[in-house]
Amino acid sequence: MKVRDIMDPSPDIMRTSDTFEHLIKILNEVKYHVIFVVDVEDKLVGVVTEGDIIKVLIPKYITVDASLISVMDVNYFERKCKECKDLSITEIMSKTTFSVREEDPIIKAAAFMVVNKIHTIPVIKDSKIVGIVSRLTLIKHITKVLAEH
Amino acid sequence: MVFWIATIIFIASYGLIVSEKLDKTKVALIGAGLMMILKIVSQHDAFYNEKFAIDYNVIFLLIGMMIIVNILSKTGLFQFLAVKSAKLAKGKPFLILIFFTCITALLSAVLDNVTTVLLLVPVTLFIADELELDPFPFLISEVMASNIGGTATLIGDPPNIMIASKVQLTFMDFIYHTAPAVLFIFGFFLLTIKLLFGRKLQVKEEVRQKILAIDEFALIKNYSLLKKSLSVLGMVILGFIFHGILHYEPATIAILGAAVLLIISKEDPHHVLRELEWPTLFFFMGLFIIVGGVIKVGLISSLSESMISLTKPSAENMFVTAITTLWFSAISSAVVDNIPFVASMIPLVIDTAHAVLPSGTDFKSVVQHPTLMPVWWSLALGACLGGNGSPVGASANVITLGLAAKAGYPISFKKFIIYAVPITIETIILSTIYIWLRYYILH
Repeated sequence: MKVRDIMDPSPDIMRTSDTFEHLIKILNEVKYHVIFVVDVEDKLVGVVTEGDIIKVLIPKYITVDASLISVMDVNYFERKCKECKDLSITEIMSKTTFSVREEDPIIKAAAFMVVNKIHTIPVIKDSKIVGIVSRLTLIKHITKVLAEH
Repeated sequence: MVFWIATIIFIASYGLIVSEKLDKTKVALIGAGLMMILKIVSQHDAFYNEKFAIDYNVIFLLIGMMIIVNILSKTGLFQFLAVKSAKLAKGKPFLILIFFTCITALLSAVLDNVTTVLLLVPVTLFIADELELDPFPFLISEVMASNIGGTATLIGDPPNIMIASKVQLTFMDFIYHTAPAVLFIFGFFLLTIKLLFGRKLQVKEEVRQKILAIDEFALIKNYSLLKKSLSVLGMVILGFIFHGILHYEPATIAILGAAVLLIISKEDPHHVLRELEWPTLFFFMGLFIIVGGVIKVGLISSLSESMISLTKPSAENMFVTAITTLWFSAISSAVVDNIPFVASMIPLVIDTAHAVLPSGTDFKSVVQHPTLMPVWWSLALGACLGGNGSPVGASANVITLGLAAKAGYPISFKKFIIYAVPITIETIILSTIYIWLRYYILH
């Protein structure tokens, strides 16, 4: 079977013009803990996960010297949340490095997820996002295959 | 023929080091390997000859200090000092900038510059973030202070270690000669910082209160290790102060100190030794052999003849030679790594001394001839301070810019140059005044 047969054709999407505030507002309705980012031409340019959202609030110097965590201001997190309100989504997202096409076999999507330790993968047609395959989608497909058997 | 082969290896190695096309340690090792395989210097000469061999005094002094600093850096002392000084400054940003700059200079004078900035840059970014200020004034001041501070002592910067070893100068010689120059220059440097950044650094009262609320003692990771490291460092510095009187080379003191600290700290030597800057150490060894090769074939002698005809030194006065050395070293060190530059300048100055000065009873009386001494101090000041002139002029600059970029505050080449070049020129003008006043007017 092909990716087209099992993918969810309505992944959560944001635009490059959106901000941190927009992102947080739609977070409650997100289906797969992941939001894809598209540009003005609807081309897929990035992905935002829960990890990316938290990471943007943490100062990067902590990765160089973790001992500074012990002396950070108690209200730091709240201050950063407010400071990041108008931050562009492009500064929060990670670049998408993996994708599959509609006509790819399901095994390709499954193998990609295992090898690259990711939970979801975008489905692309002419650089535009047309769907999403998650680990849950694959599990559901396994159930279906066994039922047919 | 041998002369030209050695010259080509020398020029090609330096060209590759400047171009950064190939890692500098690889270049130094291949250059050294070629010098030996082509029998320009024999392996015996490269390892054991007094004139052409690797200067193990430099290598082991660096190893000893790297071990001590490695263990000391695990205690949290650097971060503690930074936060403590910010609190002593009552959270006032400009005062914090001045304190951080002074701490960087002081630590760089007794410890390795790279380790100093490596540990101070993250805590600086933290304080700037808490103050909600642009960290640039802090970072640029610290990196420049690190190179200025390192100039003050024998162990502060590799050029000084190399000069001291070949010219048989003591720790106290540097304290008497380069340290006052550094104090003089540093005073003007602080004034310059005030003019550049004094007005920009203003924060609200509640922001200052955040700094006062930080518990700096939470940063000390291991009190027992801190006590042991500081005791050993103190003893080692005492040893350096008296090494001339006691007739010990600085490397002997550093290695003994490192060994004692490794034993009493109970640190695993595998871990500590693995973290030493081996590429730098091998870079030194390779360079010493390359320079040994060009000394042996006579390239350095012919260069020293050009230096003599250009600056006309005499047994009574070498003022022009000293000032030319100062400016030439500063410009070269801004462009090239100052280590290969100083490695070739030292034999050049020694050759010049042999040609111009009356031959004394021994090597030391020639290289430490009173007329020649200002040339050595000019080389030290030029090579160390010149490192401030560009982002690649000194390892501390490369590390600071790298860390700043990693932490999300990239500093462009252009922005660095705009601030660093005028300040470097200022420090070299001040060095010129110092050399002129101290050795030619007030002597």
